[in-house]
Amino acid sequence: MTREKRDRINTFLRYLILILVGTIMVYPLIWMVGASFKTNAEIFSSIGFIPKSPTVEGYVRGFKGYEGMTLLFFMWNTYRFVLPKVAVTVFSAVFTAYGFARFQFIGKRFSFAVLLSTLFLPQVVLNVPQYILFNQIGWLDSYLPLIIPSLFAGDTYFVYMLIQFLRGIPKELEEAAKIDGCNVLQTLWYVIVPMLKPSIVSCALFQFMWASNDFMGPLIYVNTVAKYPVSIFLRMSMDADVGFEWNRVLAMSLIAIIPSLAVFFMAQNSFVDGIAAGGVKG
Amino acid sequence: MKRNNWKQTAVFALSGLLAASLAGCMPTESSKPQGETTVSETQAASQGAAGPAKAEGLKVNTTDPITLRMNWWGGDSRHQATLEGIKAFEAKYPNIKVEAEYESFTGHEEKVALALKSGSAADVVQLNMDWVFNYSPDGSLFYDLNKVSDIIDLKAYDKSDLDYYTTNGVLQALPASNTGRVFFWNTTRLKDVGVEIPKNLDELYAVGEAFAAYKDGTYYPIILNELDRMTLMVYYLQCKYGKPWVENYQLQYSKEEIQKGLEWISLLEEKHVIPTLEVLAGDGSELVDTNQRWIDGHYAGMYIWDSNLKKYQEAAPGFEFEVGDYINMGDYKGGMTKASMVFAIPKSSKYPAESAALIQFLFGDPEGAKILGDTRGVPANKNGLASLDLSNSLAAIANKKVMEWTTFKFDPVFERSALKNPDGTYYMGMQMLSYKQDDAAGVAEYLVNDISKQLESAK
Repeated sequence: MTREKRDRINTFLRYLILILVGTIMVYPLIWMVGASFKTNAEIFSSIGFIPKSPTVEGYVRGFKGYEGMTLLFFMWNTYRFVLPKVAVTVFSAVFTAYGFARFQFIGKRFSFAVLLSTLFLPQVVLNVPQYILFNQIGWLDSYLPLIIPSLFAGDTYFVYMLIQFLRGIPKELEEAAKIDGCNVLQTLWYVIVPMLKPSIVSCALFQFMWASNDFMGPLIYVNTVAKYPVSIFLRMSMDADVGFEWNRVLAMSLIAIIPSLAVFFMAQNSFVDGIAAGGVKG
Repeated sequence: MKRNNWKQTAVFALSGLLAASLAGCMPTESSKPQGETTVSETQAASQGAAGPAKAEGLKVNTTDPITLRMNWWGGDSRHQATLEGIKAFEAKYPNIKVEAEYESFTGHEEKVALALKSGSAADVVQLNMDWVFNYSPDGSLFYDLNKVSDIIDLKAYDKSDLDYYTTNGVLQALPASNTGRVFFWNTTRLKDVGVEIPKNLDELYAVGEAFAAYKDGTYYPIILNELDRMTLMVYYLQCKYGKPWVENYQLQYSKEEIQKGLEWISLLEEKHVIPTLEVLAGDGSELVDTNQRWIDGHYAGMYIWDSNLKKYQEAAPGFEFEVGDYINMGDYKGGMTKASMVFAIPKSSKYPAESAALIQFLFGDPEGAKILGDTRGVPANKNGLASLDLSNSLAAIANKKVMEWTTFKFDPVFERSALKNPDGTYYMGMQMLSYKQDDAAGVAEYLVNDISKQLESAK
């Protein structure tokens, strides 16, 4: 066996295994596409993704919606609070991370410890006190309870991620900027932010996905159906007592994840960079 | 070293706090804050001399613009029917606008509980039966519906329902419908096997034997998961002894009696009436309607809520189904009913009279009741029920059987999550029994202890 031949077999085997495993991993997603055209009985009785008697009932009924509000309306609702939330998250997380990474102030170690400890605090614990607080301020049934905590760097994970990344940026760059006459904010804007870009993109992406998928938050704070985001809409027809059509839920879910997928693919390069960079330095 | 001191201190302080909170948790299980009346006292009070409160003579405002909020959970058909009902209500009272807030059941309890406790709940809320007692054990959270008895026709409700939801003399809620479990059979499969729907225990055992001999012996007459086993066991015990399961927050069955019930469940497994839990786990589906072997008719029957039948029927296309008569298991009629959901007006509501009018319209007025149909089960309101033609409704046929047969009511604790959830007592107990990790006596003791604990904490 020549070396060339061996290499070829080697490559062939490697690709074969990768393709096999890859297919297995992606299969649920493909199945979901197929299942959105199946009836309930078929969904639970066959593993194949090609429907035996395809029906578009799921899509048709899903687009009927409630009181004239359809899927697209609820998707629009989702982005009405997700986009501001992403914006304020990025803004506040960058500021907070900059503060923690570059400045010395009294109580820094303590406040950093507090910040980190909130990282381990599950959202469920916060629901009750936050609800009471927002109720008293009078913010219920609006998107403010979902957005405002992010404005004050409530999403610790992102602050932490940016701090880790900032540690890897040489201080000399900032010193050079200072010599050139930049003040603190200018340094942040002209030097730090461009360097941080990949990380900032991953923060924004993560927040985008998490906020779009958030179910409990909007459910608790928002009362009016006309303000429901798509995550609640998707479940609205799911009545465990009398049963419901899975194809409809799957069809609607499929359409609802398209914007998230699109955003992800657009920002994929920066995103992967950001995660890798944040992970290596520490 | 020195720098880390405060961290160590903090860690110690926090662990101390954790330990203290753990210790603090133990007794709260069994003791409730003082000042909450026990329900036995409550019931005594409600049945006592005082009698229900008189109507306060509130009038429904028909002139000023009013906005009510109504909150419910459900699926599509219920959403659409209720929205239509609300439209009809708004047409009847043009000055009242009703804002509908509806979603699925997931997360609903958290939402409603938070809203109720902080006083921002809707004016009319749909609740699960036991939430009423969990969140308002002393009747302080909800408006006393007796006070609007000139708006809501309370005579249209069964007296036992009114008594059940009366706490400290306060009528806290009204049931939309009552539901109980029935035996539901895949008659196509029964015919294949060559048996009839069993009417008593001997026939049931005979059906089991026939199924054991049928084809490869992987077919069973009844599928029961852990919770179903528990409920059927209570049914069996009630047939045998004729006692309510719980009364005044006291378990009415002794360890020995429950042991007999558990032995009977094991007997059902032996006689091939029900699959063992091991077989069931092998099916790979927690829910019956998504279970491949229910869909293809390996299991020919269930003991299940009358309101859910359609779901299981539709899950298995190509088979005929029938609601069976109750299986006679003793000298008494066992089984329990409960409200599948109730409606209440939180005290925080500014418009109790108008909210009451909405409840009356949707459930007591023929016009509203007709629009809602059986989307919330077979109406508990007699006037509402009378205005409906439910001759084609599977749920109504089953519900009739339930109401004719059943005399006992579920206690508010029976379906507590600590008992009925997949990590709860019923599941654990039934698994211990079916996997033979413990004998019936041991499991009976476990059940009695855990259930009593829950009852104690609910007092």
